[in-house]
Amino acid sequence: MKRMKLFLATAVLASATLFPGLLPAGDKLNLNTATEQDLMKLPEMSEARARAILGYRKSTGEFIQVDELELIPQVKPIYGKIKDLVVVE
Amino acid sequence: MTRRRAGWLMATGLWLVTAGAAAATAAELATIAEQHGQWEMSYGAVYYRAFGFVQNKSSKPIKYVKLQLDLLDAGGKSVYSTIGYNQKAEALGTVEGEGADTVKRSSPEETLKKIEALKPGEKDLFRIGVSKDDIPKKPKFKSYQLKIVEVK
Repeated sequence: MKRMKLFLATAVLASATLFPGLLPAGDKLNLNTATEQDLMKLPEMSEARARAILGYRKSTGEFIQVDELELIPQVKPIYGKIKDLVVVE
Repeated sequence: MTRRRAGWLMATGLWLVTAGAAAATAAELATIAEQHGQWEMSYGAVYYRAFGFVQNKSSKPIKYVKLQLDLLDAGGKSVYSTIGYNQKAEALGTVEGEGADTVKRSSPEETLKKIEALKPGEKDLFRIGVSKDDIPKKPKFKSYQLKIVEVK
């Protein structure tokens, strides 16, 4: 058990060192409060995509469902990769 | 029990039986053959739209199928409800939005006469849209429910 804990701790530390910008596993991003910097932690997210999400939120109001991301043309191609990493609260 | 109270109870019971029979009839006459729900954007406005097909299950033509769309929260409670009709009978629906008050409307009887009936077994499209502006922000809806409330 001790070995397993040590292995997990090492793995988490290693991933945080190797991929500093990525979202830690288990932490989901709230689309209604996320900043551009927060969004940039999502896989395959670019500045243009992050700004498009913020622009959509500003023009149509807060997200009601995560599925709304599919309406943003810049984000649609990566929707499948990010939908499980975000929430709407 | 007074005679008046007994009469009231009988009337309530009769109403419940009649209402139950009417609901059963609607479900027997038509069915939702296919349904989907998704977000859509049109000219910058965002809508949640439920769409699909209804089918005439009866042996007689039917004039319209009236549907109720409910947006449900995580606990299954309705947070928004609206009514719609099959595509051929969409004229029976209400006109909403800018300029709606300027639209000249025929009487329901006249509108009904103009509607092409659904033949036995025939399917027809339905679309019920809700503007994002009208959907409550809290509690957020998680799913939708469609049911047939009236068939004529």
